[in-house]
Amino acid sequence: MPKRWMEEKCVLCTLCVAICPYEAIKQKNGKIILDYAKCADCEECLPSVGCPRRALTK
Amino acid sequence: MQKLERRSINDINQKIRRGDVQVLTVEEMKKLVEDSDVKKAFREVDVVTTATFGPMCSSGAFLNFGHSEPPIKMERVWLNDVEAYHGNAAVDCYIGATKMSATRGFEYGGGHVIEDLVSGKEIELKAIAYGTDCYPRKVLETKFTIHDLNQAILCNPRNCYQRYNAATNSTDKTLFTYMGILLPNYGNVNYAGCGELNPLINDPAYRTIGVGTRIFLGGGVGYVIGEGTQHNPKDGYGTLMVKGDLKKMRPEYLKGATFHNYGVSLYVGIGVPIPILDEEIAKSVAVRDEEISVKILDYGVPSRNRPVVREVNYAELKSGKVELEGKKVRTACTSSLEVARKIMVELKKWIAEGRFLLTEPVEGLSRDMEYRHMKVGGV
Repeated sequence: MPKRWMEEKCVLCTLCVAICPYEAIKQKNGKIILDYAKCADCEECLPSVGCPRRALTK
Repeated sequence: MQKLERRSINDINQKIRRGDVQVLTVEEMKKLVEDSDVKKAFREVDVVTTATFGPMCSSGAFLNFGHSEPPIKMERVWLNDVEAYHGNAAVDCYIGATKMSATRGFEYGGGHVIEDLVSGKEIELKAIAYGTDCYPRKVLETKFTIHDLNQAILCNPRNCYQRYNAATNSTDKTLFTYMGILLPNYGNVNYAGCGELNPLINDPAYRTIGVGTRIFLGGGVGYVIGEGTQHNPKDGYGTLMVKGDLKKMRPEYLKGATFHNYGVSLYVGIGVPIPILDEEIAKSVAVRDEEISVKILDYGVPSRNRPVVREVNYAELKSGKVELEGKKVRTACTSSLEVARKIMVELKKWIAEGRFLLTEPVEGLSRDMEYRHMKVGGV
């Protein structure tokens, strides 16, 4: 399922970028870019695991 | 023309008041030194701005609620179900960033209370007491916002590390730490701090940053009030203790954080101006990420003496990958370079517009303090 990035919550720490096993998350120009083609729905990045600001959600 | 050998903080403040101060972010200054030289950079620049924005667990706020009717000498206090420390006068307390909610656990804690406070949100206050002749009330339940408080003072015992070790994990299990999630078998490396943007790394002799230095703190104005706890200047791990008026800060620069299966914390934004008093300081602020070494420690060893897996530098860490045990491993930063850059730019603007004057430290930070480990003896 596609994930949503909530800019207002994000602090751009990049922890989600490195935790994604499929390299589906990138940070570019102060934004988090989600590559849905690469995402395998493993949910490692989701609020309950990877993001200290709960800025990524389903 | 007289040769300029040194300028004072007073000289710089006069220029700030006149509106002709030359202020750069520390990144702009580093480029200027590279493109020209230290002498020219010293001549042309009066002050540079440095910054960091990251989770800083040793943070919290003193609050004073004023007296209830009938009055209470609070014995235990909860703010949105997060217990605050009460060991002071009747209606003072200290809400610590890492204290977790009694009802929501990892999802909410002291750092989130501080973010909600500074956002102007209503906070639930619960307190119990044993009751005294002068403070008869035993139970209190009410709501308040930061505007109702007499004082709300952010007072952080340890912020702004000069540099910090990075973390990896040699074991076959995922580890949940204050450095974030560490994947098995050296699956990732997490690091902290902003490297060449960090305030203390740009003034490693602590010549300009000391007690009384006025700083950008959480979007408002704060002060350095001493070296921070665990200050370790001999090994290049200096820290700062800071305070400031929480009522004048902004939620943009104070954000609660949750580290899964570890705990809660508070992202704190700090900006420190460094006056370019002489060529030596112009040279020290030119330090680059390549020159700042960082040890990658194995958090798979549950010891205070974690083995060093490799020594790298901030440039390698910021590149996104480092080599560990023969493979390329992805890196991530718990701090935010983007927000740190924003702070440097904002502080630069305050100074350029004459809204922020520099202060002379009234006392230097220790340069020879030793870091001690705890002795654990037999019972």
